[in-house]
Amino acid sequence: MAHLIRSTANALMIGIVAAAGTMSTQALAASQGTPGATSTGSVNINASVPNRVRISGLTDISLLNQDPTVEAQSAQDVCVWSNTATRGYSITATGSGSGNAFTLAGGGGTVPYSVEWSGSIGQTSGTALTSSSPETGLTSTATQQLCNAGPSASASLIIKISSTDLSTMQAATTYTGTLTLLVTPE
Amino acid sequence: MARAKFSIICVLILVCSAFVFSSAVAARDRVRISGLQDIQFGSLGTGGDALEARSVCAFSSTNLAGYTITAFGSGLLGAFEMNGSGSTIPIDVFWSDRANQTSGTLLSPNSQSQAFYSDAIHQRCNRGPSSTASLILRIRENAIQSAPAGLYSGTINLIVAPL
Repeated sequence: MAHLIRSTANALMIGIVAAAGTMSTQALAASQGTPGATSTGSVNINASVPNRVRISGLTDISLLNQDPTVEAQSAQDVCVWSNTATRGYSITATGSGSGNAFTLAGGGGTVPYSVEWSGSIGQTSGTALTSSSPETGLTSTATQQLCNAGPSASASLIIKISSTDLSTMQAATTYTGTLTLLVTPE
Repeated sequence: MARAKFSIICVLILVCSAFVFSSAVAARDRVRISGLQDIQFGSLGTGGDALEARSVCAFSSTNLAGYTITAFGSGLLGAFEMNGSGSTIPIDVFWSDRANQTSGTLLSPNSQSQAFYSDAIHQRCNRGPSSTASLILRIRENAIQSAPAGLYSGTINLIVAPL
């Protein structure tokens, strides 16, 4: 049985959604030149940059041939960028299970997994996320949208399946699901 | 008495000559820029460069209706940039001596441009063409992407000189 469970293949895919706000602009008055040996005019310019965030660097997760006696875990560094003054953001995770639950489906059943988030890289544990509930007060160190300059990543995404839940999975069965991460500027 | 009259006449001749001379120079060198409008980029998106162009009236009374443009911005040392949110957004400034253009000659801050020529027959383009040149501003996409959120503003000053 243990051998059969170890051969179970699990795949977890991740989707991305980012949100951004808008800001207003302001009107001024241009000055016209007068006739003369030279003539000077001026134009006022204004623009606004809305709050923006971006999540990138995500990779699909495959937890294959897991030993059910040992918790399965996958951690990856991702890039979350925010252009607000504090570089702040919140993250809301939703799963593809019933009611957006963090579950994988396969073999006519489901298996739950947990999602953790850390605002720093290289982590194997973080704050446990609750489906559809934003985790607020996070701050990014990213200086570029895709982390292609400055820090190469700014957060850690950790997925875990407990030993107890692994033991409920059918052997030789693929379990799949999608985790969607919504980042919102703060 | 005769000597005094002679002196007065001489002075009058000199004054009149100077007036005529200065009037001739002023008439020959007259330029004017008008029809300027403020430019609002609005909310800057991320789908490429942001571009805004405005047609303006540049008038020159020289024989060839030639003129140059010297522009400077409100940034440090006259840089073309907007300020806000503790940061700056650089702007590229272009000039074309044709109306309704979206591309032109790139201007450098505080540097006199190449020669341009005007079709204007009236100082403020009240007659003839309603505008004779284009002021084009561009914000590069990478500048937009790296700008912190917030409101930005700046000024571009344009000095027209006869040529």
